[in-house]
Amino acid sequence: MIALARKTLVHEWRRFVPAVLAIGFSGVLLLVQAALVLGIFGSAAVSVTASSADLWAGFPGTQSVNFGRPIGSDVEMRLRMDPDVVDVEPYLWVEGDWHAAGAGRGGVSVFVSGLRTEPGAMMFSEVLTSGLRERLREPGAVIVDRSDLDQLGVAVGDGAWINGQHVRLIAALTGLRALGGVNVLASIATARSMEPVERTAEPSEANTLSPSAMTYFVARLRDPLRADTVRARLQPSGAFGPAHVWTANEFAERSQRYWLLNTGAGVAVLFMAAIVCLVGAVITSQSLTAVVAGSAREYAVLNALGASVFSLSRVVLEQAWWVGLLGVLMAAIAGSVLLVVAARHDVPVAMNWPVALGCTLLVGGLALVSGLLAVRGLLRADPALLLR
Amino acid sequence: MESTRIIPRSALLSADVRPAPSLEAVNVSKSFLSGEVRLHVLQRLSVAIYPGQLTLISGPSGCGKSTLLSLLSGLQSPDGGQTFALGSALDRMSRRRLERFRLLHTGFVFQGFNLFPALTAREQVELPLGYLGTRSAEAARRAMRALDEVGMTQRAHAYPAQLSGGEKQRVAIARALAKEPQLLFADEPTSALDADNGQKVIDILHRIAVSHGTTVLCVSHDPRLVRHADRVLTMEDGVIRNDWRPSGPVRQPAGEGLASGASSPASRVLSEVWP
Repeated sequence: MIALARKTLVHEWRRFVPAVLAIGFSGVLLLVQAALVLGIFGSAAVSVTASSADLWAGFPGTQSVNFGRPIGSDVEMRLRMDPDVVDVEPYLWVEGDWHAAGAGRGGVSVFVSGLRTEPGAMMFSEVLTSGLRERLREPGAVIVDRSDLDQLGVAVGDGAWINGQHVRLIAALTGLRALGGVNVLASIATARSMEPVERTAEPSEANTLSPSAMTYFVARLRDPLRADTVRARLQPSGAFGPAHVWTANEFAERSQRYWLLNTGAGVAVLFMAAIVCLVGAVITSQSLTAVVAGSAREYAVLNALGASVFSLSRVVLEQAWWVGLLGVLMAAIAGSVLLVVAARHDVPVAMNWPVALGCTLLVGGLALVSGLLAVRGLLRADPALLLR
Repeated sequence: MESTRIIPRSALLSADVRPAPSLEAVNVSKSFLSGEVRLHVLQRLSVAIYPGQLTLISGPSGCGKSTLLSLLSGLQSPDGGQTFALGSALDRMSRRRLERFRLLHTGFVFQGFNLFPALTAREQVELPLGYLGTRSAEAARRAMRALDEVGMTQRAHAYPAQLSGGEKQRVAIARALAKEPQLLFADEPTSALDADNGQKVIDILHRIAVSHGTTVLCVSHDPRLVRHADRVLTMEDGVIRNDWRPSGPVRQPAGEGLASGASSPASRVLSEVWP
């Protein structure tokens, strides 16, 4: 059987370029959009994902890591009592206003993370070296993400104020970028000094929480694979008191899901993806239809000679398959280059195999739908029209 | 369910047996809507075409000759009347059965050559054989044989862009011929060709009819073709005005029979005369 679809594609490749570009650009748009979603919303849980803790205990019903409320220090004891838990450390979350030195600068909302400074601590262990962690012991020492320096109006070594407390920037790292504010790392003592006075004065909390109350207690397990089992054991229907325990994965997903779905951002992203698919399908099918229409007379002769419309449709669909394949390849190459460049410029992007596969399937489906729409062009290939 | 009176080719070719018509139109009518006006192109026309000869339908533009070819080849259905090809009633077949019938029995040559730019001459000819389920090696062999028959073996690996108009039409004929069809339809096959190439093409069509026993029905207003035809049907205003053999005496229709649209018994008899 003569490979009509493939030979036509090779011989008349210029006519297929618009369709390949339409598929390719749709793929790039979907890929970059997905990478931005993963990057931006992934940063919603950077405290969890950049730390090596296996379990997180926080205020019941906390929807995202940045919405933590104080919990009592007895939670720490409860965690330590479990035989699988090998270490527990507190994590203090304080929201603050950053003011840099120099006139005319407004405040910047920051999330101050108060961390344990002993070597081997779990919080932000993925980004903090033990040397830097030790330097946080210096009162007022803070660390921020490199990409936030401009926004904060400081350079490493400069001083600034958070909630009226003087701080000094001792280092700038990558991988601390957060959603909705600037992450500032400090020691627990430094962070505690920034807590607004009125919070601790609230009667309901003053009654139940000591000044040593923390936002979270995180735990390391002997065997991280047993996280689900230990979490289930620690969570027997409210007996744990005013705290809830999540595995690190659960809590990260919970935070990301909140930002993606409850803020309207997710709907916007899905809407954009639908628009990309629609525009891609329209342009691709139009390009393929034009290719089919250009060969309508030849297809009509084949139909006159007895090739069924079904057989001819297969030729068009095979062309759509090749166009889809080339488009996906183009999207993969161009998308990868773009993502590498973006990552080098501190644009929050991330990608994983399931999402990449999903994008590929979506673009492949786009090519198939476009091919099916282009098959309509064959209906114009009526052999009776060839007669003069 | 259409009739299945398939006529064996050996019977058609036998000199002792008077062959049955391989194509037959019985009281066919066809009209088209042009704007708000309905044009009656054919009205109750009857004609029978026989195998082993080149039958030429000639006449001015718009006389209905191409419409008659489209009905006899099954590309269109008549509004009224019946069409038979190789004993099967075409007008009762579904689209799928018609495609199958055309695949097995008919070849077409059109005025435009309509070759795929991406395929070489040999591949153009092989292509329809693939739809018949012919194996690649056999298809290649038959394609070369068909190209040989139209004198195009030397150009088997040329693409359409490298071929002259006459060569393209010969490839188109080879494409129609490779299936070894019993029915070969040609619509204005020489209109786009110069005298020399037109001569070659009509010679090939005539030779196919004589040597293969194929029914070759050719529609043309090219007067050069008349002397190559075995039988000429002259049409005007949707009716057959004249039915004659160039090599024999001119047979003018007696009375109004043919002139009224070949609907009378007299015209029917005249068009069924075996030369």
